[in-house]
Amino acid sequence: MMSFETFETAFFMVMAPSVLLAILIGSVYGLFIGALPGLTATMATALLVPITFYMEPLAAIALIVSSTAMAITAGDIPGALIRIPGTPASAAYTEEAYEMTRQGKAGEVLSLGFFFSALGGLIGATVLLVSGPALAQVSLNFSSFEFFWLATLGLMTCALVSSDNPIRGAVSLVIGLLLSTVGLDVTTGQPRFTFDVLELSGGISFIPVMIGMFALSEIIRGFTALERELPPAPKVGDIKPYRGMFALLRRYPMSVVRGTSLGSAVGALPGVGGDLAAWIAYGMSRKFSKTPEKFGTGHPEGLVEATSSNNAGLSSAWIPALVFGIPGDAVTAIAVGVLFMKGVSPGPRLFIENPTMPTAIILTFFVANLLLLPLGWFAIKGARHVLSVPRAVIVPMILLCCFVGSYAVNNTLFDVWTMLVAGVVGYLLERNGFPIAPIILGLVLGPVLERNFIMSMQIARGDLLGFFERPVAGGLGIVVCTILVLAIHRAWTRRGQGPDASDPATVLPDVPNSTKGNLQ
Amino acid sequence: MKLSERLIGPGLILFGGGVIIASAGLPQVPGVRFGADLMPSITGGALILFGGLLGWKAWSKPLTEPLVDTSEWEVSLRKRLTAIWTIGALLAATLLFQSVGFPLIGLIFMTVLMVLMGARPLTIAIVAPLFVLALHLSFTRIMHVELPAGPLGAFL
Repeated sequence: MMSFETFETAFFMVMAPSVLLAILIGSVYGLFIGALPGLTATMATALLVPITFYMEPLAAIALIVSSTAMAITAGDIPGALIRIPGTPASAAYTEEAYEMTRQGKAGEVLSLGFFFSALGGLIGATVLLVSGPALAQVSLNFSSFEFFWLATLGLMTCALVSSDNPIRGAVSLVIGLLLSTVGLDVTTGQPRFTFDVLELSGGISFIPVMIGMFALSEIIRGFTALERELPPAPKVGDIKPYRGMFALLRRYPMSVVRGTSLGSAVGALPGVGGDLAAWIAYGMSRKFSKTPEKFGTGHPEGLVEATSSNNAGLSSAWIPALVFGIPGDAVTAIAVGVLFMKGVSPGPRLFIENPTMPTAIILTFFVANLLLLPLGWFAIKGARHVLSVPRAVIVPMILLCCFVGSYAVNNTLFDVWTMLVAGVVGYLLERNGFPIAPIILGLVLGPVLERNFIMSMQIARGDLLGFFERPVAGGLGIVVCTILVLAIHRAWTRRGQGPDASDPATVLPDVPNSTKGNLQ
Repeated sequence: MKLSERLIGPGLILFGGGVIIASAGLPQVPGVRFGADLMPSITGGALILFGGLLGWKAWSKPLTEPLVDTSEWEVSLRKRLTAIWTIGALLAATLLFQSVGFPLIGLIFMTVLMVLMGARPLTIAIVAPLFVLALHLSFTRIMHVELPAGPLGAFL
């Protein structure tokens, strides 16, 4: 248990001007990177490493923590305004957020994103502070069986909640999983479906696919009779940042509790946590909602749960990195590298020999998450300017951002081609009622699923019952199987009842030409 | 383009079958029981299953919609031209990106697309070069992304 002296010393370390300045610079930088399509929190962190050479250890880590927290939250901005999700996690609720923006609620949706992200981040940091070592111990006891079931749970939730027709959701998911098999095989290292194309050896990057399928497909649709009106620009004074957020908090308290608990628990799992938490949270919110039919129509309930889980997961993702020195994702891997470079070895001994350092690192999460609110205020205010740009100007801008954003991932034109193909395929899939989101999650989590599946099969010697033998794995397996059976039962009992809700015509309603944008 | 489930179902079955055949051709590592072909074979099987379900559902009902519906492309000539330009220009930009450079490609692309979409000349004259310049400088100077500068590189 942490002593008061440790906490006090750590607090004053964080309050040092150099650390506070690092947090401020990191946050502003993260806001900029996160709001640009194609640039990720990982890229933001990697670019900061050379700067950290010249900084004190705590200031260096504070710079990374703040830029990551802000970049991931800011990734919601292009998702909400122009339908380009910044991260795979924010893809979970991009459609919902964009729908709210189209209803003229841009201020509300961005406020919601920043407010509940900050709240989730603060709760996640508290969890990290209070129960970090215990949670890490639990997560380290997870084997490939548990990881397999968790990945399956996340993927299945995504397929089920993203479409009214589970079969169409499942088809999208399978396409994503299939795309994830391109490249070197995760177990044997053999090239698979690479067709002698060197760039395919590393697999298909999810960022160009995400940009193409969400943004380019929307632009292609804008050229057809299915064009949707661009979100209206709010009038001056209409955007009041954070107004009504406490009312939302009172209306959906359980969503916040569930979202942050789930984010904190799932986020601590190495490799899968960050991306999964928001998807499962969104699905869970719909499951427990009194008005599940409103989901997908610009309803804030799912956003509250998913955004809060997103940032809670971000904090708890540092648990295995700090407590055991085992980074769970690329960002924490870079941070661990920086700590080693500064002579600080993360791990259990750090908490015993120098407890003020990990405590101070955790405290930087609080400051970084609190800073989300004032910086978010400027971003929300600026949203009006983005939405007031005419279609004839914003569409070329988005296209150019898509192009450069895709190129920037690996500095290769192959990713631009990937984006173009993904855009056309995404348009065709959406036109035919297949949701896009499961493809992205399938692509991101496919390697995790496959690696743990193969490993588990090898351990169980091909016996599928082996997947249920460990207590936690068995529990998760039963949950997954129950959800699957219930989904099949629901689809079966709905058969022949009224019009098919999954019909693409209801997914993409034809809008009368007179009400469409100003391109004519 | 909207396809009937009568086509999508069999299409998915064929695709899934193709994936399974391609997976079977992947090289095997001696002694490895669960190799590179396992996951693609499972996804191929899933595609066949879901394609079968979609196709069965569609073929068990009377045909009420066209097999291929392209009515969404019945739009004004200007809109069609804009769509063709956008896709064509994106392809051309990708092909010429390294030799012509981002600033020039970006400028031409934005200018023509803005003209086609009906932006005002003054807006185009201001926005297109400024946006391309801002994007170029943000990526090259701040993010250190190597964007080819092309002939305009000397001025940037």
